[in-house]
Amino acid sequence: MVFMQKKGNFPLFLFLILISVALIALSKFGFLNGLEGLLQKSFSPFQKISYMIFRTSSNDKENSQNQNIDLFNKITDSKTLEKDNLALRDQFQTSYPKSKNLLPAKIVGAPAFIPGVSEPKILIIDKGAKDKVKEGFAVVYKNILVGKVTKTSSFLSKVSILTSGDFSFTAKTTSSGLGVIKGTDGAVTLQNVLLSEELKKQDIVLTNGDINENGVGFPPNLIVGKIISVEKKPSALFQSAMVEPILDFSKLTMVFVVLSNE
Amino acid sequence: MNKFISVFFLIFAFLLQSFFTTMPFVLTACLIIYVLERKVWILPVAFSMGLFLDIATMRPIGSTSLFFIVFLFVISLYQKKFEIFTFHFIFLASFFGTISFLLFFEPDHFILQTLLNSFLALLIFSVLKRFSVLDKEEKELKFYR
Repeated sequence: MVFMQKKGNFPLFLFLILISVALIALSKFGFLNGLEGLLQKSFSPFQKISYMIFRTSSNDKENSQNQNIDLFNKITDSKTLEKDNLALRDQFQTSYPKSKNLLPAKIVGAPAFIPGVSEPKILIIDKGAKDKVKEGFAVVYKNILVGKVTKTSSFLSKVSILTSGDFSFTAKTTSSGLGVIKGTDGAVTLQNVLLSEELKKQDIVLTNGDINENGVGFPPNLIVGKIISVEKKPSALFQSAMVEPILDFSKLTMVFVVLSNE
Repeated sequence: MNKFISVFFLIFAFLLQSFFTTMPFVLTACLIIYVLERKVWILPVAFSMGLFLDIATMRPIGSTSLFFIVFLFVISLYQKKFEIFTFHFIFLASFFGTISFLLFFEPDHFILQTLLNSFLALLIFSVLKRFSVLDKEEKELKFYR
């Protein structure tokens, strides 16, 4: 057996460390976008299949054990199609946001601590800059806010989910309380609401709309969630509320990117 | 240890980590294979796995590779002075490796993830160690024949 300490592999370590540092620098400055895009494109079908196989096997363990690979693939394909059709039909029956402004995207990755149990913090979708997806675009399912695009490459995008704590935005309640939504450790809080405003349990929280001059941001009146508890202290300047998202993000297989906010 | 088992273990860890979970299974796989094999090929493999992970999870390319290589470098330094083919080393190396990785890349539930990953590393090591010992004995027998 060739032991590493005898050979003295310090030059190899140093070489690989230097290459890694160079790659990070090139990647940060965007010189590797083309190569990254190509590799992601070649990974994409593989990624979709792996994601669906893992997802289906976790949902339906008993059946999958007794099936041969061909049958398993057929079932996976038909389930995927069924879910996609249902999602598309639901989305295009929803009048807002307008369907012509929406880009359907399949989820190809949703890493979570314990898959199926923990909520994922990010989603990887199969649409990227080539499909005109930009950083900051809202991602929805029906008229419910899922999150926003935080990184794009040519063929894939990374979506930060509402609960991830990566961003905050203004929101309003159906009883007209205005505040700031912030994700914290899997929960969502509505903060900085004036004491004079009335917050009630079961109130629906909606986006207030904060689109910038480049057309990037959240359109108004997307559903964020419903209020499950209110924290109001007379001595405090503001009140806050815990908001429960309506969607189970770990069960999603398809989402929609809001391309235009007209 | 059989190369086929090592490759299968690495690919399975890669699939799990890139699409499904935030636990650094590839780091654990690299650590265990390094300890069992102690061969040069694990370095470029760890480097490539890091690159693929960066592409799949949309991190800056090279960041995970850098972490893996630095981690293996630290282990190789430790290996010059102390024995690494032990359960307590696997547990501690996996613990500190996982906690550092999670603090850098996925700080969500990092204590729970670290503990779970470290115990999993122990379990996998105890299984693969048997293959490694059997493989070594077989080679020795062939040599004497």
